[in-house]
Amino acid sequence: MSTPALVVPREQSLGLIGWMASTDHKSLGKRMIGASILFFVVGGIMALIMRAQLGQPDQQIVSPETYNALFTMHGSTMIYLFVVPLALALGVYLVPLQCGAAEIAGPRVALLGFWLYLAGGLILELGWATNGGPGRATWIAVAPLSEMQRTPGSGQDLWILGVIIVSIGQWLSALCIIATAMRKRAPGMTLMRMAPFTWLMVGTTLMMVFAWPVLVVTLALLEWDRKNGGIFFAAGHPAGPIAYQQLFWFYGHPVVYVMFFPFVGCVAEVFSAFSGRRMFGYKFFVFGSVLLFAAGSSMVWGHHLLTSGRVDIKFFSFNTHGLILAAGIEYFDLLGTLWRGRIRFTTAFLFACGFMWQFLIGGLTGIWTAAPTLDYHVNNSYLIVAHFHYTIFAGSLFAAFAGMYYWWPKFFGVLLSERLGKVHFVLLTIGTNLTFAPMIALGQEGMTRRISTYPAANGWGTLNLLESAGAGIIALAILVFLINVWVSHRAPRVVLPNNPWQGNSLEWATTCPPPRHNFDGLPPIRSYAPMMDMREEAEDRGLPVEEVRPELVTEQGAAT
Amino acid sequence: MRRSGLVPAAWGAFLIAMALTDLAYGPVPQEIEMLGGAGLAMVLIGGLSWLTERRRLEPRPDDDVPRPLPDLSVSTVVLALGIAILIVGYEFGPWCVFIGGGTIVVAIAGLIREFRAERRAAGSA
Repeated sequence: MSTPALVVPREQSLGLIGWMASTDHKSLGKRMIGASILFFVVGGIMALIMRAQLGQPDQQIVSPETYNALFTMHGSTMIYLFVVPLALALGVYLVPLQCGAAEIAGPRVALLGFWLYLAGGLILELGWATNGGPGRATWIAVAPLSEMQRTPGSGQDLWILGVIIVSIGQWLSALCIIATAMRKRAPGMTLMRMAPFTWLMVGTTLMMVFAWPVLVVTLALLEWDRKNGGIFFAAGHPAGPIAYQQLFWFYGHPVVYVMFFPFVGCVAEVFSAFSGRRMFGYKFFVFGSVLLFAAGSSMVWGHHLLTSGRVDIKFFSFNTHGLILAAGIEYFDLLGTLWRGRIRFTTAFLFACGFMWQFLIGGLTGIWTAAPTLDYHVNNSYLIVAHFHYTIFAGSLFAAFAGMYYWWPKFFGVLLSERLGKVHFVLLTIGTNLTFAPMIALGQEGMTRRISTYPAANGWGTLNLLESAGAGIIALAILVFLINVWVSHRAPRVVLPNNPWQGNSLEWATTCPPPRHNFDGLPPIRSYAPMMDMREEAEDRGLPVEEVRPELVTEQGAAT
Repeated sequence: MRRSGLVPAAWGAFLIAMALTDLAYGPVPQEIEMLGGAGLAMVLIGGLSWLTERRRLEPRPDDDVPRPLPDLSVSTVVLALGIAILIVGYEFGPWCVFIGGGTIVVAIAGLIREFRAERRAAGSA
């Protein structure tokens, strides 16, 4: 890639009011990314404390009560305040651009969604300042543990109310994203010409549209229970705790897919761009992802309750295994995109590859939890911790970094350092596998999750020490990323071409970063890869590909 | 073609079909209610979307008319603050609920002003 060396002045700051109240979806998306990364650091610090506690047997760095609060708040921070908002942030920023829209649908609603998310997140974390400490009934606030008798104190109430506010905010953001994809597409942008990432955001937001209200209502009932003495979910009630779990997991399983779906979209875009090919099997990918995978994920919540014996075990086990088919289609299409491609091993591409094989481990360990007999063995063990960290951390986070390295120039007009990026990738890969692979073995050996310590006689010390060392390496890798951001933004600005990576979707038709109204002109949209269409057309006309601009081919053949 | 409504409708139909499948397994009523209810809701959303959707693939007569984009909306931020305070009031007491409610009223008044200002700006453009 060549970068012209024209130095331009830094952007004028909008000021505090502008930062707070701007309805521009690009500014909003960047604010969401920033906020989610801050929460990621907070949740990461909690993880490091937990790993310090578990690094050696019989340690007492923190009390069991504090450890309960730590794993509850770590999970809650990462899920409610980091991964889901990061996914939505990418959607808020990119979906209008990929659809060729000048603005997100309902910009004020999107702004409201962001501030509710931030306010709710701060309220959730405010629990640390209360006398009894924050919520400590796990990230699912499992009833009856979360009832007032078992978890007294304001911290748990703030947790519930904070999650309610966050979820309302996320729901509003999701509505704006799906409305943009459905209603704000540019002329010529049919449904089957939408970029893969946009399609996966559609699947994501469809899940959110019906699952998030269920969480809000369930938590409102739980809070009512806490204040009024256990009417809905208390032990002893005919439905009781099982009703809570049914309702929670009706949200709780789709949220797992919300946490990786958009990032699969990142990988699809990155593979397509850096292999110089169109998305392979686009229609199958869309169908398999949105209808089979996303909709399918909405009907497998019962596998979280298999060992309760209070759900249709065959139905949920069958459905869960059915998702393998959809996952297979996705993997086949993603790998097919690389086949015979002219691959460029950029940092974004490496992270996307990291997603592919690590997410596969997450998926394969998921089969153990989907098969009832195996699930009885591994239920509540460290294998579950390994499974969801391989899907969410080793999968989604790697794909998120692929997306960030890929779209960073579009977001900020700055290319992140490739050298530091590769150091980041290597460290994160080592740290991730050192941390989470031993958990598979520990789970098999019977180490249960959520324990604050363990006796030396169990023989789990070495593997736990390795995990703690891995967590330290992960922290180092994240530090390298933050240094990369700082160094890259401190470097003199250069004007980047619109499409520095030769990406294929429509956001690359505009400047880096885009103007307030997104596009000065749109290329003709004849497929789901309009920028590749442009390049091919330019090549047919003998134009140098590096100099292709949208206006060259929009002028009815007046390419100059 | 009006196809956007098809996406949620197809999704909903799929959920309903799976809810019906669950019947064959000797279902837990709550499962059928949740799955079928969600499916029905999505079919309704798809139907409404289909009914209200305007043609997007053809250029519209007012496509060339510039529409104002809201650039800043302080009232929306205040509204978010009000909603958050109102909800947290359930824990902290009625005084907090009243402050949240008052903030929401102020925010709505501000939003009305913003909309009026936008309309005026569009009219004078």
